[in-house]
Amino acid sequence: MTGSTARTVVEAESTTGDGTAVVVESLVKTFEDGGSSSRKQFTAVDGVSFIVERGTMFTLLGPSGCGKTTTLRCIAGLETPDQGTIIVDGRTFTSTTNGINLPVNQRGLGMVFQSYAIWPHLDVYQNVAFPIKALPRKRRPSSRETRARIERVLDVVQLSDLENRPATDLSGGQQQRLALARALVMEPPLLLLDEPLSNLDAKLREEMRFELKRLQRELGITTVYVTHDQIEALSMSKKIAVMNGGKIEQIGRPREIYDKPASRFVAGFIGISNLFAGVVSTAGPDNARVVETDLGTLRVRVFADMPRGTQVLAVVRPEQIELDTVSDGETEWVGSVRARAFVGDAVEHMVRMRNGADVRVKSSPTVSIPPGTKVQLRFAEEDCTVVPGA
Amino acid sequence: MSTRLGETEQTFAVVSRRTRLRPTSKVVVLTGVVMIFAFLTLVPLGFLLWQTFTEGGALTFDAVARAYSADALGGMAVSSVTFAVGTAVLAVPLGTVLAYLTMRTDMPFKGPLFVAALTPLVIPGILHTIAWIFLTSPRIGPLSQLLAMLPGSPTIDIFSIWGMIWVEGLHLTPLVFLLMAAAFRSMDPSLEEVALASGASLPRVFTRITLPLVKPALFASILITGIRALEAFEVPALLGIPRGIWVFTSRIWRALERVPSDFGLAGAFAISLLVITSVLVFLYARLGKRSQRYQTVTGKGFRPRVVSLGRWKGPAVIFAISYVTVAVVLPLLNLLYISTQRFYAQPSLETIANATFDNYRYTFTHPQVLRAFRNSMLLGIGAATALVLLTAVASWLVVRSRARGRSAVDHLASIPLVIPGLVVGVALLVVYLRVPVPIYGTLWILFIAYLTRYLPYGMRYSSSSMYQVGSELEESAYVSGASWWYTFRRVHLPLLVPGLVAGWIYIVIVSVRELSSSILLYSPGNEVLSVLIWEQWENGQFTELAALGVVMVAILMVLVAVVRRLGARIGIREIA
Repeated sequence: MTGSTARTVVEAESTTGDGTAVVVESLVKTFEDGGSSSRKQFTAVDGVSFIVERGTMFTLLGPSGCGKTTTLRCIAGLETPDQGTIIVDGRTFTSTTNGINLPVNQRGLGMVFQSYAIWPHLDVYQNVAFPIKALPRKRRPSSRETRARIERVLDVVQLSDLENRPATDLSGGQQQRLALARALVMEPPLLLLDEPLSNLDAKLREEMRFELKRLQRELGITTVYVTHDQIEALSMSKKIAVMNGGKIEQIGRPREIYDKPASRFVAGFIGISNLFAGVVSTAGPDNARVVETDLGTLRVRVFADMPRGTQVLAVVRPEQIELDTVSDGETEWVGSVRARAFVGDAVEHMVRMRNGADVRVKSSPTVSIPPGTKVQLRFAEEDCTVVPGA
Repeated sequence: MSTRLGETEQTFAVVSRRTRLRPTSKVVVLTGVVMIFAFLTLVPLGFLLWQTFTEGGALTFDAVARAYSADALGGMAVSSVTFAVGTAVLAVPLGTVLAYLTMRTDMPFKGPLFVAALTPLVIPGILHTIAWIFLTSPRIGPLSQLLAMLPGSPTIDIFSIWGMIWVEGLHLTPLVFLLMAAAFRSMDPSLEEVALASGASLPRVFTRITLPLVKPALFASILITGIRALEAFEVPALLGIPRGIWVFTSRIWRALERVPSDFGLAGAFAISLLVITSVLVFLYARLGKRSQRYQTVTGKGFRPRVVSLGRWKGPAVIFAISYVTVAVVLPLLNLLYISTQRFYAQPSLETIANATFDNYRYTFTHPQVLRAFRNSMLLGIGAATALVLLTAVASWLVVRSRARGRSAVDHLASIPLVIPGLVVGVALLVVYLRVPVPIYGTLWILFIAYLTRYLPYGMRYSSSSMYQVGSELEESAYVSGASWWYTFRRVHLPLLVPGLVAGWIYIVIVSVRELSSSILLYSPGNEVLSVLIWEQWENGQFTELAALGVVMVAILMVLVAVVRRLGARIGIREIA
């Protein structure tokens, strides 16, 4: 490493400090699309940067094809990035400016694949023993130490009594635990999870979600988690990066992502949102803005630079809205109920607004308004998030 | 989004950047395998071209001119085409109907029919041809005798183009049967049921619905039987040459048999044949590419509902029984009968009562026979083992890696598909008579011939197994810290085993049957079983030959039973 290019890596390492386990900077990965005949480039990851704090779970969330899995595979070393820097625990795995790219089998990470990738010709014990057996003879621990380590990790994932079972005899949940045990046996500095719950049925998925979270907390292992499921992401992560089209749209804690989406995409992807198009009419101090929409005026605070005349979208969650009967002369936020549905823990109303837009409202089960009734939407203006509009 | 990239490029990249001087085991192993493939396929072809088109270092078309100025050239072209087309015309409908009956209808005795239809597959071509000569010989052949009892007492002349077509056609019927059975198996039965429900008759459904649906497989069968007939050596040699009916393969044989051998002439015929088979194989490959997408060949025990034959059940059973009797039972039974006789004589109560095991005693004790057994087994097992290991590595390169030129490796391994066995023989003769490597006159030259000929089969078994090993199984090994070579040995090889074992046995079978390369490359003391049968035929040792043939068929049948069991488990469609 020489010259100015080297300095950026060193700087990146020094600025990360003790609390940072993973640094990903300006990651770019393109694929050749459509086979060898048509040489079209497809950018799967387009300048992704983030850091992961030590001992926390960081989630890459997004729809399929958003580049989250490719990002994870770049960290694992299964893909070679075109550009970017990846540093884990102070070790530079990838630095395209310095021509460094550590081979996958020298990175020492743990990874759980979507299919679990349990080797069917080995039993439970042998599957977990594989990473140890793959070490060069000099670095391999004694057989007693090996056994102790495997038993410990099988105990952690509660598979001790299935040690000699052929791996193919395991249920989905057990295979998942086995894959986890195999990923953890080398005590890696970083655990990578690629949609680990997507192959489980709904009930088991929920169980494993808590189980994974518990393990991650107890072991204090830094984890990068890839999923398209917002509930998994919101419930398990310390921080979430929402990805779309190879780029990160927003990074933040689950609450921030949910309550304060930074873009239309995030607002639409996380939970259900009602979007009201409008224009900033007055820009006051302290980020106070007045937004004029077709349906009414909003006085809100914004987090981005939005001068007067900016096209914006106001985001309101269905559960943040209440329905009220219309008083005389009232014209703002008025519509009529088009349909209602009882969904167990709530009643959902679909309201057709004056401008033809449909708004979803989630109310407590005690509220039930028949279709055709004129209603007014009530919501606190501080619950309303404003994102850049089209 | 392609997510299978990565590990190869990346490891290669690291190798080139950081450890340029110390190549990894991966690079060494893969380069070695590719070089062996090139050696097996390109070297013989190169020498063949060079031998044919040069004379004393100068380019010449003399040999080609000699080949194409031969008097009987026109006749040879006509009989080659007649032979190939006739064989396809006989084998394709026969194999198709048999496959349809076994796979798609409620005909009784389907299990036994399936086994019987495949049995000729294990009979070496030379034995099959001789068995038919025995059956139809004018005075003592059982079939001739039966025919003599019919009104007008018709006679069969097996030594004719029609005889050749008949024998070759029956020999290739099992191949058509296999191809068509696979196609029928993967067909959606509801398409037929709809047609039946709308009132169409069964024959109409078969011709208007079923056949169009399996059209790709049908065309493939026609091409394959045509190619096989053009490449066939045994039938033209034994049935054609005595009456002066020449085809390409017998011409090649003739050019080398006479003293002094005319390698240029043999080469010119060989290259002509090569060009024709290349065109046909090219057509076949294009066909395969187009139809592959629509075919599902899996190992799943998916058994489609069958069509009820109704009043066609009787005719179907009669047809199946006649086929099995004529094509399988009669030749084998006659062979078995002859093997128990002291002299080749017309079957009668008396001769059957005088049955003897002398010929079997001879077969199991005569040093020459035992040596041939040993040679065949050594070569079969050796070639199968080497090919299975080589192609296992190569299949990783072709299926899993993203290395540049990986498809070239696949093409390289497919080249022998277009090289007829006799041409492989000619080419290797040319190579090792010129190159001062002392393997001519040893088993090694046969070993190389078998490796070359059966490389495509090994590759097919290996790569279809490799496709079934999910790439995440490999990636998780790398993430676990394993090197490529360690992963290949500990993850790929164990998971490939069922496919590799099936491929291994299959290569043993075809190697033991092999005649057309061996007949050119063997030397006294290095005979293999098929060559020995050829020699016994020339020497008139008919009863000993029959005994040896029966033993060979028995051994091969056991092997086929094993390969089918394994093949069914991993879902491989074998093509003989």
